[in-house]
Amino acid sequence: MTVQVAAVGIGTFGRRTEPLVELLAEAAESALAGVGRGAVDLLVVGTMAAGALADSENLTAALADRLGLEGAVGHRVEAASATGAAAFHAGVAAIAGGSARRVLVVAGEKMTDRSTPEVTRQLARSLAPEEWAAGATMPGLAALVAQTYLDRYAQTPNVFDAVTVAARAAGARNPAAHLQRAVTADEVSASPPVALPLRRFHCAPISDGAAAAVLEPGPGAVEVVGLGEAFDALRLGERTETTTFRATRLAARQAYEASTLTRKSIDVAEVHDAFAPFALFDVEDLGFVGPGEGGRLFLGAQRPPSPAINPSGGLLARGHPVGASGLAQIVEIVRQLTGAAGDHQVGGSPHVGLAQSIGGLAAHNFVTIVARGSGM
Amino acid sequence: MRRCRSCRAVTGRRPGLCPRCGGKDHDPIELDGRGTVIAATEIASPPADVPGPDRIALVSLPESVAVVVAVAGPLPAAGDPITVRWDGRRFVGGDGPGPAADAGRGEGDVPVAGRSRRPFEPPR
Repeated sequence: MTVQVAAVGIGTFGRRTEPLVELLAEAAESALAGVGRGAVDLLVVGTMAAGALADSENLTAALADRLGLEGAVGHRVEAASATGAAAFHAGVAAIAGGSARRVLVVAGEKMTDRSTPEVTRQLARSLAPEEWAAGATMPGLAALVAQTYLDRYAQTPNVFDAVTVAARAAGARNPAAHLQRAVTADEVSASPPVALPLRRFHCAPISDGAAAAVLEPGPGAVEVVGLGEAFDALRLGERTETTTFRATRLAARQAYEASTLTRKSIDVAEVHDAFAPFALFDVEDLGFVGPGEGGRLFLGAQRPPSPAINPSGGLLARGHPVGASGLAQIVEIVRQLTGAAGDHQVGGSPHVGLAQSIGGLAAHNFVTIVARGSGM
Repeated sequence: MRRCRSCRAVTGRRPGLCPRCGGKDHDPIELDGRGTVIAATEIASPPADVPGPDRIALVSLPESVAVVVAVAGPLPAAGDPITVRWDGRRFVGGDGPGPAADAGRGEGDVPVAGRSRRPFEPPR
């Protein structure tokens, strides 16, 4: 059965004062306003660490209560920093399998109530226990894979600077982004070290925020045409390669095959750039460019890049509420395909868009392809 | 560290079935103790319970697997030889004094006064 994205919603990302359930409700109500007040059969809520980061549990019931969804059923989904994508995929499966006629998917995180070291500690819990016992953190392991990338392809951290500059320039056009100030390459390379070669401006900010989508049987203006999901070894050292993310490549292959499309069909993509080097891995793993060539899409060698990458500003500028990001990417792609992206709308009337999300240190990745459908 | 009895692949510390052949029987192997640094970094903002700064490295081992180690001593460079040992809950690389962050990193051992620390046992 064809599944359509009937409506999407998103709140402003950044430092928010409301409790998590209110952020979720804001995004949900924004999405539901796009379809009218019909009955929701299934509520899927995504958060990565609501208990640890926001002192909130039982969020599916809390949100159902808040929204008045007594007739629905629901559950919560978690896939680390890919939680939002996982929640969306769960919703698609329910429509495709015929067990629901309208699914509300809502994903969010409230992170700024905690200090940076506390958040870092909690996010490191997505790693293998002996790795975080050795002192590894998400930025720490990201720095190790980033350095192996630079060494293998004889590049310098300037290529990471270029990713951040592009992201922040896009974020400056997105009124819902956490970071809306453009930065220069010099500012990026002068920002404080986090774990070299990564500096602060190479890392997505700690953000609050939520996104939502309403799924229904198609046809519709925007239809889901391909999904992919894959695991990799949890321990970095047990991966076969560290200059590419195998879980992205496997998920992309599934999604392309399911959609009967190829990378050449993708007009616009939102890729997971929690750390600037990940954007390079992503565009290579998705097949947009060859191994080691990711920088071409960010260094100005190809303007405008094809496909358009992260018009929202990506995680680096839109912000990275860990549970929300995977769904926020899909919301952005849907808006791009419907011409509803405002000041950061890409040109050329895009028909097909792709979102790619990384869970943990790329141990559980997702690819989602959506396209303009016959119901436009 | 384990080796799959069927396909002989070193499967590291991953519990469960062999990821290469699906075999369910494994034999423990002793580490040679020598490794080569693939990449190393110093973490400027370690987690809340860690005094820091912390140094970690990705180290390839002759057993055809790599490990993330806590670095004892100065930060090594890519290509450097490094000794690797298992200290009961993590790999430690280098011969220097143990990393400053030795205390308080196990499951449930948030340093709260009056609460006993459970030793951390990673999955085998």
